[in-house]
Amino acid sequence: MEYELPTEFDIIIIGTGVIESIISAAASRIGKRVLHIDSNNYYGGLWASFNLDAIHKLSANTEVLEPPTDLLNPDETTFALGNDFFSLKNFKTDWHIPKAETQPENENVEEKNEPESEEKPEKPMTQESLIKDGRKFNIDLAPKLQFARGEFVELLISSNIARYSEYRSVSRVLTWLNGQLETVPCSRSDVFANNKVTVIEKRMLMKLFMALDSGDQEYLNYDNKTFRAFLTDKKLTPSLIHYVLYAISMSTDETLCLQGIQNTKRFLDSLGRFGKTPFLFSMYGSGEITQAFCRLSAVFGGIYALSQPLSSLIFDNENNFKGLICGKQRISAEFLVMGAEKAPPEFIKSPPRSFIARAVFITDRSIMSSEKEHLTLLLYPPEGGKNSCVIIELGTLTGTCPKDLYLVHLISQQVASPEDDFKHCVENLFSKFEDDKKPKILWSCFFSIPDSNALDLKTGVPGNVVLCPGPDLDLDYDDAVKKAKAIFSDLYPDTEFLPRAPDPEDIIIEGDTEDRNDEDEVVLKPEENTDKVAESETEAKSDNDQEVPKSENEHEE
Amino acid sequence: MHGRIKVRTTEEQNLQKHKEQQKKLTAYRMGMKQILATRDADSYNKDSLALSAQLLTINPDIYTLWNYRKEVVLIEIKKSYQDEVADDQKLIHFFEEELRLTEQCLLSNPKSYGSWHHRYWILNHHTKPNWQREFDLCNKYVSLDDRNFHCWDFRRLIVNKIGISLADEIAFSTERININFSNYSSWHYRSTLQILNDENSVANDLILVQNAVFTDPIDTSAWFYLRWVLSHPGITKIQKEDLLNALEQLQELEPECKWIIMAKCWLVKQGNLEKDAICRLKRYYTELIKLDPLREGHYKDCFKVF
Repeated sequence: MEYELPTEFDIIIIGTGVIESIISAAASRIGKRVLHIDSNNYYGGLWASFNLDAIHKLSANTEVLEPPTDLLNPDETTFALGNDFFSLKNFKTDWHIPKAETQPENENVEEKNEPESEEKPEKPMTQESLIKDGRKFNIDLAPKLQFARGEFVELLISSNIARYSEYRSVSRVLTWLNGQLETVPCSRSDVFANNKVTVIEKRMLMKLFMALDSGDQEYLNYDNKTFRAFLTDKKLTPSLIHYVLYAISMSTDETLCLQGIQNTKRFLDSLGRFGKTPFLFSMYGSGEITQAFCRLSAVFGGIYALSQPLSSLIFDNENNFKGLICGKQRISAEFLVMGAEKAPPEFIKSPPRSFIARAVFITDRSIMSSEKEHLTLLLYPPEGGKNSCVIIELGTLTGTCPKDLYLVHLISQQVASPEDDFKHCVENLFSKFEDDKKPKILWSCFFSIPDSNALDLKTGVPGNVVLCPGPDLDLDYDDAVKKAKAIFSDLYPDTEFLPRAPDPEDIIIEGDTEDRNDEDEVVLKPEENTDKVAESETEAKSDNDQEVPKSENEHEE
Repeated sequence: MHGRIKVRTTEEQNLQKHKEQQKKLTAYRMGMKQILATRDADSYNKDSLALSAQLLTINPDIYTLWNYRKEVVLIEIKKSYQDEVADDQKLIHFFEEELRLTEQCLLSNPKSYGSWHHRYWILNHHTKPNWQREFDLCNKYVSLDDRNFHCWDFRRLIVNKIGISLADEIAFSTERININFSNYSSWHYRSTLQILNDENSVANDLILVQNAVFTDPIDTSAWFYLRWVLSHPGITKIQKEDLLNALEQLQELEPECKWIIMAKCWLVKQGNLEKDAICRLKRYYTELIKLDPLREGHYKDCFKVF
């Protein structure tokens, strides 16, 4: 489709990852003319989500376009866009079920012993049946959970971007303890109802929670000691230490005391706001998050273009960014922001040396079966030289997979390779054979995301250009928000970062004194399965002054 | 709901409110006048009925109007018996209308005596009451506010009326306690179910309430339930000793909590731990007086009685 973009903007943003999108929204919000552009035909970049068909078609974008030379002024040079440093590595997908019903043998299938369905009246799962429902999958490259009182959720609420996305609350947090899956008691009622913990342990756990909440000063003496040492000194039993150290504070044996306490507080602070655990998950996958920010940017005038033939950047002889060559056009702007993976290779001084190991599985049942569908967070502790793993299990109610199937994400800091790093989890949690109890992996996908977050992305980059890091290991978007804010305030100092956009209900008509829009209330859209969301809505409301039509003290008896 | 802050209004808003109040007052007075004027033993005025519904929706506490509606319902019932046609559809429709009105009123004020009573009264006269729906309604209001005694009482009335299965109610009670064990109403309801009829249930409830007091020793509702459970004659000596030991451990963690000591007193007073009962009690009560000096007289009395 031949069309022309406008050729002058205040800021050009290349790449639609989370950090880029937040900056785009913030800039657009304060009235800057924003061009947000991507060579991909989808939003999200390295943070995107894909359906089952699209994820098989992911390929590294290595095509380098030749820029037309007539767009350059004298003394200008170009740098070709796109580098290989940050693209997904070791990408591999496998089917573990037969292709179709009539063909039990197929070279595409990693054959697993599938006994003839003597007991099961249902048809065995086939690739065909899953692919048919392929559009119901939303597979995230970088799935995340949101702390209910974390910076990210607060940003969603304060900027009112919350209305562009929907959330579900994580209904249980699990850990792997003594060779089995255990529920982590997070809240007071969890501690009460948990029958694996003795009554004295319950008291100790509650005491610890309350002490941390109230800002107990004792731990100032633990400056250089580990959190584990602190917990041991508090006389917690080994099980309790496991729950608090590995699950609630998501720490390791080496984590220092103060950090461990901060992590624990972060967890406890978010309890009870939207449900029984501190976490939320974005409906339809984390890929929706970037789109929510892009939406706000567009609402305030940002121009969006996907599938663009971006070829190179133009710099003058003083090394200032002058323009972008897109197809046959030259587009100029004062500032350029781009995802690190879009940058010319010359700008990347130090390539990434650490990686995020990732795995995605489609399974046929939950890792811990129960009556109703759960959204599970499993915090798998470090084991045998491997790092701790974050495992997120999603059911159909999250809008990320079809009915009766589950999508399981595994995330860890890479040690060797994704398959190696998750081997122990796979062995303990899943079965590859017909095993009634453990879930079967129907489809698996492994890859590594280069971690651009600890890198120096500034040196050697021209002054009016900023590189944005990609996905990180944090469970929430707090780090991403911090980075976006920092970049934004560098570009536009002394401006407001995403002030709240007014919505129609906020406009008060004269004489109407009853309405007060509760800022804390994240409106979760109603769904068929109302227990989670309705529960959260009620709980969110009960946090604040509830407006109830005043039933009268004014009547006459 | 409990603990809500009232918002102070400014002078201007006060005036505004006063004006609105006057308007409402006039409307109310006129409405009442009209309704009471049309009161009759054998028939009723449909307009007045509609008007009463309006007034009640605004203010469900006008029990005069609820009673007026009850009169109307009785008239309808009488009429229906006199009609030759055996079809009571019209009557049922009428009842459903009343129930709908009470539901609407409950939405705006879940604690109105009038609404709850009218609903129960209608159900008593209803030819085909849907009790399951009533349970669902109860559940809904209890989850909105688990201290709404109207709702709890309503539930008790229904249970008495139709005699529901004990197992279901026990499950309901356990669920409520799991959701929030800091609720005296939930514990009290549990005690009215008379479930402590064998050693198994006694043991189970003892464990349940122990969980509660250990998780949060400051919450008094669980302690009261514990006292009630302990008053059951079926508590074995071993259970008492175990509990006593556990309480000693708890006291080490929570030396400031008087309830632990009081629980120990209940245990010792119960008997069959006689060995050094008096000595222990003396020690306990001395500790209690230290922790809770305002009740010194009470503790001294308790000790004397024993």
